[in-house]
Amino acid sequence: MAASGVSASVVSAQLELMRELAPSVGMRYYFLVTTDLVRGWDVMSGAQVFSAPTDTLFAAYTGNDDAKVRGAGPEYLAGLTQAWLADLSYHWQSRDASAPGEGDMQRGGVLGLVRSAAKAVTASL
Amino acid sequence: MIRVYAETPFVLQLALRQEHFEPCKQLLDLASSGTIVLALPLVALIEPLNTMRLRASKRNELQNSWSVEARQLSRTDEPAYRDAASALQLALLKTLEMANDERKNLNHVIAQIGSCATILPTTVDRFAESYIIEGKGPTSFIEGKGLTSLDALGLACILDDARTIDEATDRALLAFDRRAISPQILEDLKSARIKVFGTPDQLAPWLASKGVPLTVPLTNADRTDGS
Repeated sequence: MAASGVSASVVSAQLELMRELAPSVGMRYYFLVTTDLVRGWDVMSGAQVFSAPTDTLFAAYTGNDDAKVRGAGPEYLAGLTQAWLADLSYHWQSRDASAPGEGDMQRGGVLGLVRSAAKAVTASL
Repeated sequence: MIRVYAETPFVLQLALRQEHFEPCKQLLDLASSGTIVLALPLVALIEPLNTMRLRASKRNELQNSWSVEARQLSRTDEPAYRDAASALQLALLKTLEMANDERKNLNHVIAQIGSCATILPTTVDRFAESYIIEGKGPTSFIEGKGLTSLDALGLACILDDARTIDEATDRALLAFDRRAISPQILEDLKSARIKVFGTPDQLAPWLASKGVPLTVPLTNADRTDGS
């Protein structure tokens, strides 16, 4: 989680670090959530598997209030991310419809893992 | 000149918009306009950051258990269970949103206080005096309330400041946690010519007698007491 946009060099340094850590912690995907974008990568291949504007993706969890996303600190962003992952898992918010970004998560091959994972780990940059 | 001293609870009143928010905001405005000097020990700006962190930590524990419970509830394919899982998730988001706002408000309040109040730094001498003050604190702690080391440090800064300012300055301390001030400490404050008030409505008549208006609206607790 990062409260504001991060530069491309920080993103690539983060990805590199995650690739090094991945084998020891069993990490398959790495998601970087900032106030402007939610991006996900397959850690081993380095391929980007997901990208969506944060305010659009989290609109259902903020009452369509963009300002909440723009002013979100790392902990609130982490909470929104966990709420989204829970929605992808068991549709607590979207009910009988698709959760936001669900199609893209499926196409990226991440959805199955999200649904079967015991938990997602969030941390701040 | 009038010098009003305040402590950590004053900062929290403003940041969390608690029951005495309005008069505390007025005191800040009076300081901004130069009508009074508002003086706070530096520790009063630091302690709320730690208080917020502790609150966040406690909430995190609660949120983790709610999260697990929501997932468990969602496994049962019944509307009542799904409703309960959604309600827990919504409550989770709401508490996170509040924590986010509280942190932003605290940052804003600290910046405001920094711009219009006199901040009393911690010095070695004040730190040393705080040990003596802590020893004079209330001996019986009720539900963990009492004089903490940080409270004592704040009081040491206030007492030391009061001893060095112009004799003609009227001084008052707005001490929301009145239980932390033992008779011995009260004597020390009196000898530094500091009048102690537990709430803004107690402070208001004293300020009024000096020609400074402080309007104190009824709090919810006042309304309940009066009914």
